[in-house]
Amino acid sequence: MVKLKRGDRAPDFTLITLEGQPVALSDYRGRPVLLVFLRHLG
Amino acid sequence: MAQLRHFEDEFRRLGVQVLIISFGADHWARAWMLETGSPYPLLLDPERATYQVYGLGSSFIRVWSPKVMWHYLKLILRGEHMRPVQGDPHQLGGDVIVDADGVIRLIHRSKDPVDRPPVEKLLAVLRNPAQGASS
Repeated sequence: MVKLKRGDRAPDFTLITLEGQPVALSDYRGRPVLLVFLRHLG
Repeated sequence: MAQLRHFEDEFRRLGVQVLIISFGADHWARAWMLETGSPYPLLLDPERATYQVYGLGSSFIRVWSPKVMWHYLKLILRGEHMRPVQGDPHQLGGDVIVDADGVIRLIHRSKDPVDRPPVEKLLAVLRNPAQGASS
């Protein structure tokens, strides 16, 4: 797998919120997004 | 999370959507949201598919290094509440800034559990994407 770097297009994904709603990264096209990947919830 | 909350108004002013991604179980994620008071949506990725796509690693040695142990010891001595680890303790996190056109402007892969970019750096890149970086 090619390692993503600055300047690459961000791969889209769809995940589910705690409320069960699907959210895609592309839903926010047109505004900047900060993705914060947590380690664990401990 | 406290740092991200502290700058909530600035993220809003810049029109930034903050998305928190976790591979934790649903009930732990709910408890975490209540405890931290996170104003940002939490997205569940139990399979860690996005962690893999964005190249976030997993390391036994980096997680249990003396530097990390010292960091947690200081937190305990300060009286901070430490919760039991849920999920893979060796999975590392990271931070990614995606601009309005869907292009990565910063990608920071944590080298150890305490390696996170300062929020001020994230805000600097959001204000001026030319300051972005890959690590």
